[in-house]
Amino acid sequence: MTLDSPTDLDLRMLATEDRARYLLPPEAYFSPEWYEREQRELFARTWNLVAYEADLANPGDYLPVNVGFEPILLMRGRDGEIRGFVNMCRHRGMALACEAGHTDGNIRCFYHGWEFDPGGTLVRIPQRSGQFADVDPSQWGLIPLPTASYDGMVFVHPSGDAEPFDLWLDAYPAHRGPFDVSQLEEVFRLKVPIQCNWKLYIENHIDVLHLWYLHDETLGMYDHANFNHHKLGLHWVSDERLREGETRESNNRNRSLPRIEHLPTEELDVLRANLIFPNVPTSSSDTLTMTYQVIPTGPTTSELDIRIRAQPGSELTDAGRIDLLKVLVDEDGFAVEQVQRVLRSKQFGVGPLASVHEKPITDFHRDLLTFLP
Amino acid sequence: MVGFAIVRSLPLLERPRYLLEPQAYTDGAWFDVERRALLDTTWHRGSEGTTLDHWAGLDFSSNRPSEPLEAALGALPRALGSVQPERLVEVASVDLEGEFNWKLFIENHLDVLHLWYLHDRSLGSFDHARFEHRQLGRNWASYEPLRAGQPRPTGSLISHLEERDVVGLGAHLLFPDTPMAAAADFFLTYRARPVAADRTVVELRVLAEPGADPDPLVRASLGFIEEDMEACARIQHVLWSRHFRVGPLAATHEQPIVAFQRNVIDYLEGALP
Repeated sequence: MTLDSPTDLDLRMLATEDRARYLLPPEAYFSPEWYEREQRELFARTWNLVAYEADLANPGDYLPVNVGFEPILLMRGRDGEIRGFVNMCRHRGMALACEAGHTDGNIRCFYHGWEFDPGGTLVRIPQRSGQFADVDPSQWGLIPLPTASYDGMVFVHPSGDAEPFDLWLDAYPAHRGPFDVSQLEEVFRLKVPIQCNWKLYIENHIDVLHLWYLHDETLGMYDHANFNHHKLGLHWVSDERLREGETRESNNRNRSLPRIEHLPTEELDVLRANLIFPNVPTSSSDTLTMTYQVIPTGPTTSELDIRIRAQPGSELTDAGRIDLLKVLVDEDGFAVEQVQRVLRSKQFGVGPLASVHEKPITDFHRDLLTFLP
Repeated sequence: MVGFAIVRSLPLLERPRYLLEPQAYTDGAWFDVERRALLDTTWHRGSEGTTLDHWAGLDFSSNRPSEPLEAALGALPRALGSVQPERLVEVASVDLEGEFNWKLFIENHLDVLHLWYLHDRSLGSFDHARFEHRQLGRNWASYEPLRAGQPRPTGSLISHLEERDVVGLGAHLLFPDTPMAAAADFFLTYRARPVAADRTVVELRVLAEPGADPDPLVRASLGFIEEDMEACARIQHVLWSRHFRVGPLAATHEQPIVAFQRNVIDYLEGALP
């Protein structure tokens, strides 16, 4: 959606108006202390994308994931609900699961045999009469974590005091594009290691200016001069249309997959790039919608988890895959890896930022700093 | 030989509970204090320390021993059964690095309850219901026999063992970090050498009759030690969580863990900030 006249979104933008500038010091991109702070104070205190619902297709499916330093166990209960728990047996603190699996009964701790049902209730303590006679199992169920589903994705908040998911999403759902993901299915997933701090990749994603130059060939068919972008709470949405005279066939990515059937006609020429704070860039066109979550794996390393949803039954061809990875990895990934290399130089400094086109980076920094006082 | 009290029959007034906080397993500053106040002043299997001594043909060392080795061993040698390590030779030496705090490995060693579950296959031939264990000062010793119906061990058996030790397994601890195990065909020490707050090297030393084939002995040892190390690494992973808590401990089968922690705390009292 584009906004031609002042709206509440514009007014909200005005509230955060100030000069575009870098707010984070260089060490935020390489120091182990910053990394640890972010793991503890940012990722442990916000909603995080942890899975797609389809990763836990059936009741009894479970999936361990890590967010920051928090080990999380997702389980689809017998009632079909996906719930998140601390991946920790309540007896001695053992991680209950280390890999995805399925149980038709309970999940059992391999250390001392305590068993929990998919709803997290402690249902069996071996040797209870002799060793745990006074222990009330109802007090020792798995620790539940706030869990929410949105657009086929599962989000978990690792702390116990999450703000409601809908409030956290803010106006993002209304502006993220007219997609009905329930009519799409995942056609491609790839995890790619990147040698850079996760924030560099996010900053690159919300940098409008680089579209003209880094992606002059791969995204040159879009009208960057009329790029629309808006901050929605912590999140960010954008859209741009094909330049006049260009056709959707100009976009290599579009050649590989069929058009999404339910999209309205006015959406067919639109390319969207959004950010679900803090680390989930998304992109969508007339043929696909994808997330490419940037998962920190160390102070200077990350993993890009690329997941593409498209028309059911379609298949991303090799050529389509190469085109996609050219933008996400060969161009964006390469660029941020080069910045990472220079960051440790004593001479490193960021100069003046573009007043509008790089302003989202300043906003991103400011939002980060609210978590890292 | 010292007799074993069967701890599980003792009445307990209060359920045992974990005494150490998660930071004792993750914090570098805690680890530094622990090194100075506990690890430097106690004895360990091996020869890396500045002061060396021997018992039963085995090297032990310490940087600043607070007592002679003999005093540190206390009643432990008499509790090991009939095995005489000085009559054996070291047939294998394996160092295994794990991402866990050394105390987790020791606590796991002292944990009777996990034998039924973590080691249901690797140690399933032993009768855990008849497991006997006792605290010997800061040290600890145990014994369990083979389950009824299990075949008597064969192979390169240690020739000088009494029958009870041929058909049983002993697991012991020289406080703070040197577990030992005695079986029909081997005597092990497997010190958990602390490297960092969250990193430990388990130094497995296998002793057996001269000429014994080391391969099956190493395989048998690693069968349960690698299970233990995997368990420790998985707990260490969760220890970083703000939600980490230890729940109710078994009334008797996890009591030695609490005794161990109390001994650690005794050493650290006054040294911690």
